Amino acid sequence: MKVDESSLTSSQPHVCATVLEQLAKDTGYELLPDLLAIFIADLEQRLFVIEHSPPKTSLCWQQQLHPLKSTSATYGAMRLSDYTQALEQRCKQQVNDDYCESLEFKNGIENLRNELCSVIQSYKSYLSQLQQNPAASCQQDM
Amino acid sequence: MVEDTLAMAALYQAYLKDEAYELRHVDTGAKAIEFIKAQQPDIILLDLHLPDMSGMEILTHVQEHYSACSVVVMTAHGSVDVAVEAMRLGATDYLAKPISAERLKVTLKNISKLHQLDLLVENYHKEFKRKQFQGFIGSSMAMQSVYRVIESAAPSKASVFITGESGTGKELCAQAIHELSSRKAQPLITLNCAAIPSELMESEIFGHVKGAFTGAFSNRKGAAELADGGTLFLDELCEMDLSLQSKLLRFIQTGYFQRVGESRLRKVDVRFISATNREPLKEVEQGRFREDLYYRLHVLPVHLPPLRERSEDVIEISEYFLEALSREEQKNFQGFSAQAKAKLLQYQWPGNIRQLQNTLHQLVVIYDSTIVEAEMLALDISVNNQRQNEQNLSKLEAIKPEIECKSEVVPLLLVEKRAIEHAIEYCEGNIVKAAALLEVNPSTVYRKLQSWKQKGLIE
Repeated sequence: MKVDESSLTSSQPHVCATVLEQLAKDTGYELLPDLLAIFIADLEQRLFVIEHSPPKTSLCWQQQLHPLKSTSATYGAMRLSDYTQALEQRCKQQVNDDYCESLEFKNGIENLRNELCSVIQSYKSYLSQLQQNPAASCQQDM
Repeated sequence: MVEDTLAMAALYQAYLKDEAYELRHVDTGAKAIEFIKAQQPDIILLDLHLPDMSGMEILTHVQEHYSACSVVVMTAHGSVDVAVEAMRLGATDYLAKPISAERLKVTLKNISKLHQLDLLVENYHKEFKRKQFQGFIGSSMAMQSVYRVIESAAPSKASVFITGESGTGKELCAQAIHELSSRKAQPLITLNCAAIPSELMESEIFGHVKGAFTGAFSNRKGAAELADGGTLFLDELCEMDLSLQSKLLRFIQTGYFQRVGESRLRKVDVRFISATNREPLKEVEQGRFREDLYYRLHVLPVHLPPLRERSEDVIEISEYFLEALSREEQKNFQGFSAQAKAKLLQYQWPGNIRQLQNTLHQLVVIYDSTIVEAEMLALDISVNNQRQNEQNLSKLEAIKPEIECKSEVVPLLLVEKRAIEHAIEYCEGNIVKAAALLEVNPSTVYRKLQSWKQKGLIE
């Protein structure tokens, strides 16, 4: 059984403008840039862990993937959230920690890393646009 | 808020920035435990995935030590089993991520309302479930009702008529009404109508002038004058002579009176509280108490229940007296053994609280101990129970089968059947009550009924 990669090939955007628009309404437009900056820092932190000190066991991977799934969904990174959820589910189904050493899982993590990099870039662009023109927040998905 | 992901914590804080909550954030389980201990928050928003411990552990900890605190668990979307487990462990609510601002606000608003309601109930509980009131001790329903009547009656000027057996606290009740009234700065004068000889009673109430009778060496104010502006408490009123009752009635009606031996009319402003351990209407029926005086004084009735009708107060009162008497007698009694408590509860207390107080005083003086044991209580339960049995027997007399009055001899089975049927009929079909009156186990009655049914003696 392979990790469902359909989420990465889906038409889901890196940044869902509808979600961010709702966040801006709920928190106030003036706060959105600060919140996005915190979210980007969080994604970078998680990317650092994946690249430099990846978890060794299936359980530790779940503990990394679980908050990433929720946080990315909350901030509109829907594609990242879906893929992280698929990876987390796969980890839950594997009782054997050897799975983390499998090619399949390593490929899955590599895909996650690439997706994280893309998402971080997209959010940085979004944030930059927002800071340049706070009045007209970005209305389009990225 | 216990949330290890800063991006989420920041978002929830932003959601609630305009709400009237004082929100604090911690990012680990250990910090949460420490914070909860120090601050005891009203509500905890708890993420279940924490770096150092499971949120379930925190939930269990809160339930064990801070039951007043509400916990809202924040779970990942689709973790229904986790949410169910959290609710089973005592979580007030759960929020599935991603959490919308509206959902978070509504959840917190609902819990705040619940907290306000709890506070309201607690206040009502404090107000209406009082263990002590103006010197009374007891939280029984019967006494809660008495406390409310006293509170209602106190501000009025209307006459109060207190009834109750000896030792139930009639004088204390009169004091409570006076103390809670606007007359409390003025005197409460008590006149025990049973303790004063009838020939002196008029002088005691209305006073006398010098030379009014042998021994009246000087002018003297009576209770009515002394109570001017305050309250006159006429204890054991039904013991008063009929001739004096008419003078008292006139005084109550007009507010005017004359000292013995004086023609001058004096006027005072007095509130009347009367008390008796008799049944006043029966006294009226038997001509020992004036009906018009009864209706003058019996405006606000207060009935004090006997101690046997407020058994849940017996231990509370006993503990209060034991501590007070122990202090007074410089003894070291700390409490009652389970057997002693059982004995206190089993006894019927015909002398009510006064008897209970005397019983405890006696043991505190006689014994040196820390715990009151059953054998220290000088209470003859058998005599007490005999009295109770006599009361039950008198009830049984009423349902004694008519066969006893007849001379014909009938089979024992029929005698028994009639007795049981009579008792069941008397108790309106309540077999447990009937069995109690027959002094047998209910199962015996059920067994008999079953056997008669099988024999076709009953349908």
